[in-house]
Formats: sequence, C-alpha cells, structure tokens
Amino acid sequence: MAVSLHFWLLAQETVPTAENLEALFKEVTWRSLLQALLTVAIAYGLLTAIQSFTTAISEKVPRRFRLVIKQSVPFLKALVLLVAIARLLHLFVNPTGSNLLALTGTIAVALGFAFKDYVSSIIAGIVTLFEGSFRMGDRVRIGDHYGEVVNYGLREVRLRTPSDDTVTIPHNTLWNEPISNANSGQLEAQIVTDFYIAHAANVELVSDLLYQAAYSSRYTQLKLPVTVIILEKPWATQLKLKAYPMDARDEFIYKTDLVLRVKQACARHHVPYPQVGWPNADEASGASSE
Amino acid sequence: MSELWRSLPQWLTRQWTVAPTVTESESQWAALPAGITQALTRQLQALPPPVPYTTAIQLATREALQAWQANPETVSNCLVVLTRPVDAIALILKESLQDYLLDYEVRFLLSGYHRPPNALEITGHLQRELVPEQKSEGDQPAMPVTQTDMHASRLQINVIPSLEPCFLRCIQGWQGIEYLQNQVAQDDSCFWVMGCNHWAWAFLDKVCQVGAYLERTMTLPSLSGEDLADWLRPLAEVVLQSAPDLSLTLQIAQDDADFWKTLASVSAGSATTAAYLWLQTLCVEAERLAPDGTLPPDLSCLEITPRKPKLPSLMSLEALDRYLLHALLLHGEMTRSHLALSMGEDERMIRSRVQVLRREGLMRQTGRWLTVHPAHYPKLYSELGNNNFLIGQA
Repeated sequence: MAVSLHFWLLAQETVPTAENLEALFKEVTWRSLLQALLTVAIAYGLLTAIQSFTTAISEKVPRRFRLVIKQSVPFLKALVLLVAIARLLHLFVNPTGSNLLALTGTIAVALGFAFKDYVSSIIAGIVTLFEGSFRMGDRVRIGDHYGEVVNYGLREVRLRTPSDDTVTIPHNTLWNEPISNANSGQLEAQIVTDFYIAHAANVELVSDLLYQAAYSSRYTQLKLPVTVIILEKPWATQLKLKAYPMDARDEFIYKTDLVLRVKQACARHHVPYPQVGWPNADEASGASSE
Repeated sequence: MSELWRSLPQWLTRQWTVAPTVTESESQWAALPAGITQALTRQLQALPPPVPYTTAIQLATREALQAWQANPETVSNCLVVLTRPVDAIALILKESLQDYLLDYEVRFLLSGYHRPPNALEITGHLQRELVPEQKSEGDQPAMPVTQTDMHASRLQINVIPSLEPCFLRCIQGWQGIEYLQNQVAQDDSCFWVMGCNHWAWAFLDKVCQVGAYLERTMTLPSLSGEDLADWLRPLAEVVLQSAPDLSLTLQIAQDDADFWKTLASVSAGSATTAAYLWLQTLCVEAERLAPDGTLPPDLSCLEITPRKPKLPSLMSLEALDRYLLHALLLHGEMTRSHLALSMGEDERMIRSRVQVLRREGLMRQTGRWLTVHPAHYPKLYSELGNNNFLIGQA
C-alpha cells in the first residue's frame, strides 16, 4: 500500500500534459510499428531458443560443463530483454531526461495499481540473480519446496522436485523465504545418511564400515572428504555418514547404494540393530539428507 | 570456473568437428582381413617392452636403491612404478628387472596372480606369499656399515608386478593393500618394487593413504615418434604360416617421421595405445583382395600400408557405461562378478551394457577377464575426467 502511494505521488508530479506528449513520443508510423513487432518476435524467438538450446545441450555435454551452461541462461535472457526494451524505447520515445522522468511517472502509476506484484517479482528476480543465492542447476530448498532449479524466468523460478513435479515460485516470494542451497554452483552436494545400531554393537567396526561404504560406492566423489559422526540416543547409537556424490542429482540413488552396502556389511558382521518401537517421528525417519 | 569456460569450447570443437568425407584415393584401401589382424595382434603382444620404459625403470630402481642404502632411516624402501591402466605393467617390470640387478637377490612375488572370486581372501593369499619371505629377527643380517660389508651382503628385492589384483572396490576390499603397505613399512631388511596404474593409485591414496607408506613413485615416460618407430620396426616383415606348406609374408611399409610423430601425439605417448592404433591404421589395396574381402589363396606376399593414425570414435555413453568403464580402468582387469560387486549391482543388471560395450569395441574379453581396449583409452580418459570421475594423472 505504501509503495502504491509513493508511485501515485510520483506520477502526480511527472504526469505528462497534452503539450509535451508530442515531444515525449516519436511519430508512430507503419514502419516503426513493423520494426517493433519484429523486435518483439525476434526477442521471443531468442528467449525460446536460449531456453531450449541450453537445456538440450547441457544434458548432452559432460557433467563438468552442465552447470556452466545452465548458469549462463538467466544472463543471456536478461541481455536479450534489455536489448529488446532499449530498441522499443528508441523506436517510440524521445530519450531526453525530462521525457524519461515523465514516462517513468506514468508507468509508475500503472504499475502501482495493476502490476505491483509482477514488478516486485521481476525486481526480486534481478536482485536474486546478482546476489547469487542460487543459480540454475542448484539444488535448493525455498520454503517447503526442495528440488533442482530448472528455469529462471522473468517472474518466477521453477524447481523440479525429487518426485519429478515442477514447482513454480514467484521471485517476490524470495524476499521473505529462507533459501537453502545444497551445492552452490558445484556439481557435488553433501549428502547425510543416518544409520542406527544397538548400544551393544561395535561402534568402531560400524564406523569403519561406513567409511568403506562411502569409499566403495561408485557414486562417491573421492576428491571430497568423507566423515562419520556418532551420536548417542536413548534408544540407539546414531551414525551420520557425510559424503559427496559426484553429481548432486544422484542424491537419492546414492543414499540407496550406501544403505544397501552398509546393511550387507552389517549382516556379514552380525551387527545388532536397536530393538525399539517407534520413537518420535523426526528421529525415526531413517536416512535423511541435510 | 574460468578453466571450465576455456575447456568447454575445446570440448565442443572436438565433438562437432565434421569428419572428412572419404575421397576417391581413400576408397582404394581396404581393412586387413580378420585373420591377419589377429596374427599381427599376437605378434604385437609378443614384442618386448619399449627400451625407454625398461631403461627408465632400471635407472629409477638403481637410484632408489642407492638412496635407501645410503640412508635407510629416512628414505623409503620401496619404489612404485606408475603406468596407464592399459599398459601391461607386470610384463614391463619383469622384462626390466629380471636380468638387471644381478648383484641383488630379486624375487618376483604374485606373478600371474588373479583376484580370487571372494575378494576378502586376498589378504590371506598375500600373507601366504609374503610371510615365508620374512626372516625371523635372529636371522636378520647386520646392517652393512663399510663399503666391503655392502658388497658382501646380497640384498633382497621383492617385486610385486601389479597391485591391481590385490584389491577390489568394495567394503573391506582393500585390506590386502593395507596389509602390504604395513609389511613394507615394517620390514626394512629388503627393498620393494611394485607396479600400479595411475587410476588405482589415486583411488588407493584416497581410501588407505597408500602414498604415505609407499612414497617413492615413478611414472613411465611418454614415448616419442622415434621411440615408437624403433619399437614397432621389428614388425616390418612378418611371416605367417597359414598351412603346413603355405606361408604368407606380410611386408609393412615403414612410414615417414611425420607418421610416427602423429601416432605418438594421438596415443599420448602410450606404447600399448600406440601399438593398437598402429594396427588399426594398417590397410591393403582393395584390388589385392577377393570380392568377399578375403585373400586370394595363391598369394605369398602382401604389402601392408599404414594410413594416417586417428583415435577410434567413442560411442555415446550412458551413465552406467561410464561407471563400468571407470571400474574396469581402476582394476585393470576384472571378471563380470567382480565388476558387478564393485558396482554394487546384481550381475544381470550390468550384463547387457557389458555386451554393448564389447560389441562397440570398448571392452575386450580374454577368458573370463574384461579389460578396456587400449585404442579407446585417450578418449575415455577425457570423457571420464570431464564427467567428474577421479582419474589418474596422465
């Protein structure tokens, strides 16, 4: 509401009069209209092509280049939009200082009442783009939604969730929502897998098995550290295996592989599991990632 | 990140460079008949290792030995020879050291050893192989003090031709390596020479810090065009006995220095890769062959011409293919069951992809053992490196 009022006051000061309208806008001709249409068509085509081409090629190149290509998409799109808007302004507006002020005032009135949320989303998108809190290809949690950033549009960001749904989140949501980024532009993201054993079990042996499970998994990025954290609970001993898959996309299949390997090894060594009923829900979720 | 921006255009260029169309002069050549290719492959496998390899190993071993003898308290009593996964390191080490260190007692341990079906038995096998060689403390010879003492005592050198059969990438699969590195660190009465491929070494260094125990390493040199020419020249004329009373003489035209230089460049200086690439360049004039691609029965001499060397194209690999090939390069050679175990998959899950990779020529099978075809190694090295795998240093 305060923002709307501010825009309205600004518009009152700079509202264009009949005399200076002619000076504000250039003469509209068929030629300029056609050029404007052509500009919009080319911009739309380029935006579509950038999205399609980068999506296709980023999935075909080796992993190492995938994120580099994806991360260039928002900047390429912004460049196309910027050039298109500049071209349209050049076609229809005399770009003097006072003209621009008058024009922005008029636009401010319109936006203040009609497109406030839309513009808020666009501005939030630009701010987020330069803040770098996440990039295309990152695995993020925004509010209740977790997934890979698959599209960074003018108004919204799209996440592909682990259940293969696409969630569209307007950029202005990002003003107030915490953003948790798992890989921050890197291919790897730390995966935490929880294991529970009985108090009587040989913790050193199981800890060693966990290290070896991570090192022997084909998904593990061996260049990055593997850590085992041991916590004591009233009903069991909890071991957290922290390791990095070579590709953050393999997060769930990686966990599956780790659990399978550890369970096979534990069975071979007769490691006892905790014999309890359900503890409280947040501690009984089994393998979980952080 | 900037390095990625630099290497991406290079990768794209390599991928999308249009292959030259076959010209008329190219179409006059035909590939060798399969029988001749097999015969030449056997001849290649019988070749002794290139002289630069054996010389480098001999010099490095002598140097490491002298350094250790001069300062046994601080210098490592072990030398590890690092090679590419496609090089036959066991053969190279044997040829290099068998008749070289005559003033030492050289013992070749684990020669011809293959990974047992149950990988957890490796440590037991190593104990049986190594423990008889350990001397009890009472038998330990006094440490030589003077030069005369040094000459009087014949030091023992234990050679383990290849470390790859001593581990498998599975839980408790590298206990054999841990046992071995402890043995080397504890027993300072003898010197050790071991062979290992770069990929396995990088892996073992991450999982059991093998580099801290076996700290002295050497890498086989890259071969130049001249080295390759000298090595492959003995194959200029090969006589094949096709029947008891029939023989076919193959005369291979020796190409100019540029050919060998190109071969060294595309094979990245690897002898094994170069040998197989050279084999793939060999052609005969199409008119010398019968219409069905076989040789005329009355032929007694056939001239073979090497064409321009180039790497074979790499099929489009699936994610599982990359994991399979990485496992195979890491272990050197593997059976299907070991491959499945290291992948954490059931054997029937990988069987179909193994068949596809074999059909495409990326994998070879000798008996029960699968290996990566050496001609594909340079491209696989780039492919797996670009896909974020831990690979050895070339």
